[in-house]
Amino acid sequence: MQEPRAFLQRAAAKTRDEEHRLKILKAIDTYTRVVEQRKHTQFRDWRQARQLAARIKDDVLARLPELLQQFEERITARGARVFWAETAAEARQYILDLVARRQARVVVKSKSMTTEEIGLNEALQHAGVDVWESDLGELIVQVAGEKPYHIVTPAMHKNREDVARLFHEKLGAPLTQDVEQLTMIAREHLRHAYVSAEIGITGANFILAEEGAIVMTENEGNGRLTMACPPVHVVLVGLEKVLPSMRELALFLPLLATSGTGQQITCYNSIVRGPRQPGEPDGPEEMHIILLDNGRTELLAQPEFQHVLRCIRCGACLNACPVYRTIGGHTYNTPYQGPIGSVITPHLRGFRQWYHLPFASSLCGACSDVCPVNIDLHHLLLWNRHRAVEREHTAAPGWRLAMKLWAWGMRRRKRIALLRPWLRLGTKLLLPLLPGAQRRRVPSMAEHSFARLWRDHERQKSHF
Amino acid sequence: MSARNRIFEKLRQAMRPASAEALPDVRDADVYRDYPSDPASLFELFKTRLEELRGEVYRVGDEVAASDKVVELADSVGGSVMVQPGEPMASLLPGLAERLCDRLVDAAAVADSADFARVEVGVTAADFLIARTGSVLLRTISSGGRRLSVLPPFHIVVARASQMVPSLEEALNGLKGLSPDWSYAALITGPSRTADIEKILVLGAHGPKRLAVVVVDAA
Repeated sequence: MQEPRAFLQRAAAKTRDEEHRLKILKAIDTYTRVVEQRKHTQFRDWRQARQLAARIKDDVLARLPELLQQFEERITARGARVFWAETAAEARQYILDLVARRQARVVVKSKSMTTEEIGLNEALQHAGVDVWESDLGELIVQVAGEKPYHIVTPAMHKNREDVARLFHEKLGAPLTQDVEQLTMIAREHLRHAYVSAEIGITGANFILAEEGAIVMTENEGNGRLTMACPPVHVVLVGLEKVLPSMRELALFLPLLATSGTGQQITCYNSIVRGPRQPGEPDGPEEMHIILLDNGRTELLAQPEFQHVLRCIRCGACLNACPVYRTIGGHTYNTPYQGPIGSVITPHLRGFRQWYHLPFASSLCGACSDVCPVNIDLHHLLLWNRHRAVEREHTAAPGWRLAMKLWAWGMRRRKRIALLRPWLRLGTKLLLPLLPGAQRRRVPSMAEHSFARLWRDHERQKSHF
Repeated sequence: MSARNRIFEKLRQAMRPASAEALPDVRDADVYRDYPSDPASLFELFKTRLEELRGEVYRVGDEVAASDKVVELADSVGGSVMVQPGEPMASLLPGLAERLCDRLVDAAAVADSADFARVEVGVTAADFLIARTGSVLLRTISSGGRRLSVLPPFHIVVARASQMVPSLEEALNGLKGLSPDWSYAALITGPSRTADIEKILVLGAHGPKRLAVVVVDAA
């Protein structure tokens, strides 16, 4: 089935699923309460802080070649290898070659949406490698055979009963609905993975040009263990994630934590400048950094879209989006869901299959309002719609004709009056035929136009 | 042409001139409402913040008292203890080895990550304590490597009161001034935690279940 059609079907099914909706609302309500409070208690002026962050990222985007080169030089000087991947396939192949060279049978991963973007788990499993997701939420969706539901909270759609059943059935754990015990099951289950894995794979939240470092932010410690125990550490990171220096972390770490989870700062932030150095007691022998393009330079080349590369993947726009909350993360069928996903996916994966995503929005602007780097997301969604129409990827047959008629009609008052009775009849007959119309109240056009009502009103007034 | 060159070519073509306006010089004190203005209150703020996150903070008068505290904390969980070898631990915790006796695991004997399974308590130094966020900043070469502060279920940090700074900005600036031969630094704010199931907080997801910071007063 075509992706746009499948999207509509999934969306319709999820929208009707009340249990799903309750789980999501509960999680997002908790999130929103904590985040709004934290913005206020931590920042003097959150809006000013985000404007500063946007300025810094824009400055970075204007200096990307220089900063990336600086990063590469400095981290390479300490023995790390930097690989530039133009496409997802190149990034996958580099990791597969590394797996073959190291004869790795077990790989441990910490949460990384960029590895989802390149379909790494499937490629590794296909090559016969045991892949262990170590973040609790990621482990839950991996065990369930699903994809992450949300870029920050991958198992948002699972409650404790769901997790208890999964861990019992798939991991052979005793049945318990105690959240702490469920977490300890995951802890014990993964201890072995850190110790036995030949390769640890992580993402990165930031690249520091001046220090030649990557920064990874997390709460559980699974990322730290993934970078500490296995003899090889691989980092997969989008090339836009650069900051000029460590100094900027003083703003970006609290900003990301506040928007991501409502924390002041996340529990662990790791700054990594290479593999084990002389004089250090441990750490990996090899460190590889894969700088991924995969469509990012195309976004950068378009003046309307380049600001989207400010994104720090905090997930705030997903939580704020009324459409995301209704149709759920899996409906998007993309590694990045919600407003940010609907902005970048058509560019990263092609409009032909993904043009429908920007239409899954009410354009209410809640996403732009919460964005910690001030990305004008809802206008970018509108730009994507424009692009989709321009390239004739529009949804319904006759859409363009209808739009042309609409544009013609709307230009003159008289034309509206001319079309009005036909529109009224048309909507009365056609709207109830739309999918889902049985479940909601179909709006009907008023009997008389506002112009007519006004005229009558004025006429009556003149009678007195 | 290599992928690297092709990417650089695309980047250069996409470049637009940066804003001529210089970036404003903004400090943590300008950004954060909770920036501590009174230097005397730093310890109290650090303690409040870390305890909110269920970390433990102890202030001791001198090195001997620091040793006492570490022994007491280690006793509270039992099991083996591994202390970061060499300085500054030797002078921060005088006589600790004798008092822990056979519970002390020799760092040299723990090569393999699997050997760490028997270590219950990891004791390390740190580079900076950060009051505003209740954080500890440490580097591999100041804290016994990457594993000692994350693999054992109980992490004890011992630091001097003079290592306390108001905010992240000062700590990161300070880090630049230290010896650069490290590959890894961790900014640690509380014991390991997760809220991946129903947003309910659980401590000890993968890293330490307990974090204690012992602050030594004497210079």
